[in-house]
Amino acid sequence: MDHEDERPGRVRLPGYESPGPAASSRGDGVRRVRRAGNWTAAALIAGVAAASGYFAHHQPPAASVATQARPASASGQAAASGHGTTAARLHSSSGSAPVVTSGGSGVAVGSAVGSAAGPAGTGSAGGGAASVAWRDN
Amino acid sequence: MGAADLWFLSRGSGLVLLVLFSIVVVLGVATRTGSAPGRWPRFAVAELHRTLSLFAVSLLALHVVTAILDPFVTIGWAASVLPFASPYRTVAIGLGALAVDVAGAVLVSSLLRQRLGQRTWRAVHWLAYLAWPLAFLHSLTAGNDLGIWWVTLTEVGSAVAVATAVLARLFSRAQPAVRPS
Repeated sequence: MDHEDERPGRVRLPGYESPGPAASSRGDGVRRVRRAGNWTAAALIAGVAAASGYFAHHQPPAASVATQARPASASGQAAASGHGTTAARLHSSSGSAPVVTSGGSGVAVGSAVGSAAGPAGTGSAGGGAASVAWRDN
Repeated sequence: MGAADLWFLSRGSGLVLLVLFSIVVVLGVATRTGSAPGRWPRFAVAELHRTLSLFAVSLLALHVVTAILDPFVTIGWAASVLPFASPYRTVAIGLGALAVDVAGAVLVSSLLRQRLGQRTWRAVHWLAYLAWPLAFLHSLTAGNDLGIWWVTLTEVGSAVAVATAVLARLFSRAQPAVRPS
């Protein structure tokens, strides 16, 4: 509520004194903070949505193969997951860990080789499938 | 929402969180040095710093929860606060957990500022200068999106903004106070 508004049809009560310059400056500052906070909140929501959407729609080239690999546990074993996403992810940093991958037509067992640094690795799916290159993304 | 969406949301919120965290640090420095943009009164900058800090807490919660709920990575709830307890990318996630701990201490001390007193609050608040580099290193090591030009630009821009603010802070400290004659 802006007390400095002089709207038509409204009359100040007797004894009302207009706020001094200090109060006016403070009110102005509070309004600025509120406005900036609202815009920032909107920008945050839009930013998160835009970034997430970009990541979802811009997959690495290996994304064309519907292959997923779960992160390996300490023993290097991984389980399959068939969420049907196009992302191909390998989170294991173990040197050579057996993984189970799921494809559209069934389950194939293969092995994956990932570098310790982690960003990229190569894997091959068993059962005569083509070799797959993927990135930890 | 699918499992993959959690992963994308975690990455997206993490990137935006770094930007917001950088803005919060810059505003905090601006509050201290009194270098407010335009005709902004100093208290307004402090208030905005406080407001955006709370936004950052919300975004941090979203970032952590989505990362933990993502079924593809095994992070675990404990690893979100216990450094280097995650089986997945131990160092990278550990840096993030450290940043969470340090930022949490700053947040709690700010909420209890009246009880703690100015000296204690300020001493704990200095940890914010440690939290940002930890979060930045976490973003560099945990994420694999640096190949995307705008992600790299965002990271570099955040680093430049915070570095500039810290330098301005150091410079303002180095300048001797001028006494009126």
